[in-house]
Amino acid sequence: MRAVRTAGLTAFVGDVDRLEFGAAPLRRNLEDLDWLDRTARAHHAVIEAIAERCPVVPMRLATVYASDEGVAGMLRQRAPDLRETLSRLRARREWGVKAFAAEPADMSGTPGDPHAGRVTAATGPGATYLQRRRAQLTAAEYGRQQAMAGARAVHAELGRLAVSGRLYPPQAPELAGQPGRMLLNAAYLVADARAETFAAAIAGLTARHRSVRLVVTGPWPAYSFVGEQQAEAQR
Amino acid sequence: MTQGSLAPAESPALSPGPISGPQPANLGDILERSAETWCVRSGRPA
Repeated sequence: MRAVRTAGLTAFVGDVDRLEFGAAPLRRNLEDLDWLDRTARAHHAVIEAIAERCPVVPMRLATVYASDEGVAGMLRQRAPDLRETLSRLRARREWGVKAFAAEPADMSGTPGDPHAGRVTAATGPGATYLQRRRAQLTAAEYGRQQAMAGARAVHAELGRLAVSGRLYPPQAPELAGQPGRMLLNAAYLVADARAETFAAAIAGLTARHRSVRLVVTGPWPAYSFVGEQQAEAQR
Repeated sequence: MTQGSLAPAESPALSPGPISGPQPANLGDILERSAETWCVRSGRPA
């Protein structure tokens, strides 16, 4: 990596091979999961290392300029916007919070479940089966509603503690690598001074909302909050 | 050709080193943040 400095800003850049990052090969490579995994993690590692030292505006993965002069021109052109963004992100980090619908075993004994153990005596095996099946479906629907309510409560409370919040689409199960349906996939911009409060709130929410299982990532560099449209006014 | 990220000019010079702190949970977490355009265009992750 090396630094390109102009207009009071520094861009950290690295050389890449045109045979790998030219328009046509890049299109192919972006469909190659192994290449994408390797490249995305390397890109993230650099941004993470910079973020440990100072505010950073992450560039989109595989942002390619033909020369250092091109990078410097971009810095000059976007200087006011970049300075404003860097100032806004100073001493703030991004936390990722996902909520998954809890497995039934995780919810056993959940207070207030009106359907728990409600299979009463029935006449005949057919009636017993139908009654049990109806109770299972009702309990499943109750669990689904509880989980949705739990996810909404998590987002509402964490949103109040954060400077800003952003929702991502739920990840597909094979990508999420977690059991259960993902109900919330959110990023929160949190002031470093409130990080402990934020973490404590997550612990409290985990204890109070057993209908959802929370998975926390980060803190991240503030990837999700670099755009102008992510201004604090949009909380 | 070059690619990279931005920081204030007064920041200390960077030399790549070991990355501290928690790592992201999965590739999807990184891609939805750093390559949103790709994710949308490809219809992934979800």
